Formats: sequence, structure tokens, C-alpha cells
Amino acid sequence: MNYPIARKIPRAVLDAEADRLATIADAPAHRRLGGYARLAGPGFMGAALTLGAGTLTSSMLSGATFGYRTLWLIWLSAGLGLFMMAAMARFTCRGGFRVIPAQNRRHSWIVGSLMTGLVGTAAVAVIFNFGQVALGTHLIESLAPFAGFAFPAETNWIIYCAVTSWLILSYGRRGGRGTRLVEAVMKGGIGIMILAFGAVLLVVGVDWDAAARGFFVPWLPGGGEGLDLFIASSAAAVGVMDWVFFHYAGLGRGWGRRHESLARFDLIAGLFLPFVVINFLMIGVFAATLFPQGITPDSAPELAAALMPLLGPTWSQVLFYAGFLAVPITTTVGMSLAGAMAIHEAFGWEPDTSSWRWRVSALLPQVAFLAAWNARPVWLVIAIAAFLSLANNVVGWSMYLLLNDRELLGADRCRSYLWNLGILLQVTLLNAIAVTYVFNRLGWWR
Amino acid sequence: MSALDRLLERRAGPWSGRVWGLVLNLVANAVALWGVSSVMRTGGGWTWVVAGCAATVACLAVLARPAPSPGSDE
Repeated sequence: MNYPIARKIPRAVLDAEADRLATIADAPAHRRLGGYARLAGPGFMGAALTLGAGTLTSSMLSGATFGYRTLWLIWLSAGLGLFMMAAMARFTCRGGFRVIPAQNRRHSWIVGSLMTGLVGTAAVAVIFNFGQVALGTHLIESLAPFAGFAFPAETNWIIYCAVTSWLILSYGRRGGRGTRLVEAVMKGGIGIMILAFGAVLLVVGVDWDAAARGFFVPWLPGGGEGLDLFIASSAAAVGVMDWVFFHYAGLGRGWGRRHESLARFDLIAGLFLPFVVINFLMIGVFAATLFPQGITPDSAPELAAALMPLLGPTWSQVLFYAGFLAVPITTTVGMSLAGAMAIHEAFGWEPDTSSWRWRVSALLPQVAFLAAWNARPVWLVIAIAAFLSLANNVVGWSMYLLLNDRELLGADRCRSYLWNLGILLQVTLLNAIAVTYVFNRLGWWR
Repeated sequence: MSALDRLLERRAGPWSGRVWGLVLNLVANAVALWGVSSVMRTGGGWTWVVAGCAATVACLAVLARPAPSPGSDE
């Protein structure tokens, strides 16, 4: 066990989990799945991280603009991302190494510490948290009048930051119980989103024929808009931060060789299914309400506000806001943890969750409290977006090369043509993002 | 070990064949997208699209080959 956060878990707890895994490995399918569901965690955390303000705003816009017709992109993009996530599970369970130092050794610190750790994960955590805080504080402000009082974003950010900071600092504490608490909150957050958006969808109704067509029959808007939508959706569902977070969250749980089946279950049940279901529900709600009326606001708060009069009873409006509030909270927590892990790996620091260095790294994204006043570091967003567009594919190349590295993984390297092909398809989509970004800057794109 | 496997695993200059394959794939992707952009702007450029897509498919088909066992180098 070479990850310090896992060393805080008592040996007896890890042994009991390993024994349980061995027992359920031979159990009937339904008992095996139930057992895995109780032991899973990093996949759910990954889903909670990925399902943030950006992803759901994109789904809301998609539903409001194109109706159900882009539903197929959800499972395709999440499914394609699973190949890379399975590589991360392999590194965690059988590799016996930590991925960023391994990249530093095999592919240089520019690829490992800089592109993967500092820019692809830590900087993204800080920058993208502005969007989470802006949405979270707006939702609290919108919910408060239902309880009969006003609670503006300029003051409620204190509550938002206090709750998320408490969760962030609980991770890795109290002999592993803190980690399980955070995982439970993440799982609960996903459950709330599914219940809330599902109930709202039942209220507004579903055109099942159109939904089934949209889910199974590929469709894209014509011209460059369609190509942009396809490339962005296919490559962006699961990115560098998700890869890094799943790997280190697994290491933090003390996962080893015996956990690979659990890790793969976690990827499908914890990451893939919640991602598909929640995006489906969100697109469905907006396809059934704003799309027929031709209303397409720009931002998440505007979209939510436009939806309210169409939801009918007050309880469904409250439910929608409450479910939506789980989105930024869980993403803030997940991103902050991913950022702290990445900073420590990038600088070669041993993560100690009770140290000041960990606390400062983990709480760094909370600088986004400024978003409560609509403050956004626009120049930084532009710089990071540019760097990400150009660097994500190189990080993808690095992961593919590590998975096929005979010296590093030996007999545990990738031996499947299909697995490699899936990873390469995702890498090619990331390449396409980098190329279209450059073409755009040069004025060559359309 | 087949000739293709040797090509992928052998070092040529600073990088192995796999890395050169990834670079070639990126160039092929760029050619295809240049063609798409050209088609959207002028209506012509299908040759670039076809050449880029064909090269991409060829790169992916070769790069997807798993690395052979360390003991099978000769």
C-alpha cells in the first residue's frame, strides 16, 4: 500500500473488506452486485465530480434547444470514457504505482506534474469551482423564498463554503471513516439528483417515443455546429481530472489486486449509470418544457428560472432546486479533493490529511466564494481553457503509453486490442479538440 | 514478435514507435479536420477529408495492437 491516505485505515478494516470481496466473488450475481454496491465509492465520487454545473447546463441547453435528439451522445461519451477509466483502475489495482510520479519518470515532469497534476487537475479545480459556487449560491437564494425569507448569494456563500469545506476536510480522517462519510454524501447527492429530477420529469411528462429515438438514433444539427457538439460532448464527459481522481480515490481506499472487479463495477454502476440517468432526466425535463416553446436562455440560473412557471405545483419547484443544489455541492467537494491530491503529487509531497499543507491545497478552490458577487477571473478561464484544449490529448497519450508500458506494468499491461482501440478513440477526440482550437485561433475553422 | 510489433516497440530517435504513431495520428486528425473546414467554407476539400480519415483509421488499427510479452523481443 503505497498511498499515505490508505495507511490511515486500520489493517483490520482493510482485511475485512478483502475477505468480504473474496466471499462475494463466489456468490450469486444479485448478492455479488449488492455486495459490490456497498463497497463501491470512488466511481460514485467520480460521477458526483463530473456532474457539475457545466455538464448539467450543457444538458439543459441541449434539451431546450434540440429536444430529446441528442440523448444518444450521453451514453456514447460516457461509454467511450470508460476505456480510459478502466486503465486508471488497472494502474490503481495492479500497477502498484502512483500515476503522476510514474508519468514524471516515464514521460517527463511536463506531462506528469505540469500537464496532468497542476493544470489538468489543480488549476481546473480552482477555475471550475467559480461556476459551482455561482450556481450553488444562486440556488440557495432561489430556495429561501419558499421558506419565507430572503438569503442572497452575497451572504449565503458562507453556508455553502462552510458545508463543502467540512466535507472536504473530513476526507481521509478518523481511520478511513471520514472517507466513507464523504463517499456516502456523494452517493446521497447522486440519489437526491435522480429522485428530484425524476419526480420533476414525471410531473412534466415524457414523450417516450421521441426519447427512445433520441437515445438510440444518432442525430446532430447540420454544419459546423453539429461537429462542434459531437466533438465537445464525446471527449468532455470524462476528462483528465476524472482519470486522476478515480485513480487516487481508489488508492486512498487501499485498493489492490483483489479490487479490480470491484473497481470495474464501480465504474459502471457508480460512474456510467448515474451520469447517463441524470443527464437523461435533465435533458428530458427541458425537452418537455422549454423546447416546445422555443425558449433557450444562456445560463443555468436563467434556464432554471424559465422552467419554474412550467413546473406547476410549488413542491416540484422546490424539489428541482433541491436536487439541483446537490450538483454544485458534490462537484466542489470532489474537485477540491482531486486538486489537493494532484498538487501533492506534482510537488512530490506525501499527502497527510491532517497537515496544514493538505488543508490549504484542498481549500484552495474555495477562493471561488468571490463568484457570489459575479466575480470571475476571465483571463484565467481563457488561459486555462486554451492550455486544457492543447494539453488534454497529450495526457491521454501518456495514459495510453503507460497502459502499454512493458517495463512498468509487465504482465499486467493491456493485452486487449479492443481496450486499446477504445482509449485511442477517446485520444483522437481529444486531438480533435486541440486541432479545432488551433484552427479557431488561426481563423481557419468555418 | 511480428515486424509491426517491433516497429511499435523500437526506439527511433527520442521516442518509441508508439509515440511516433500517436504523433502521426494527430497529423492525420488535423488533415481530416482541415478538409472538413475547407468543405464547410468552399464546398471543396473532400480529398483531405478522405486522406485524413484513412490515415487516422490506419494509425488506430496499428496502435491498438497490445505490446508483446517482454520475453518475446526476438
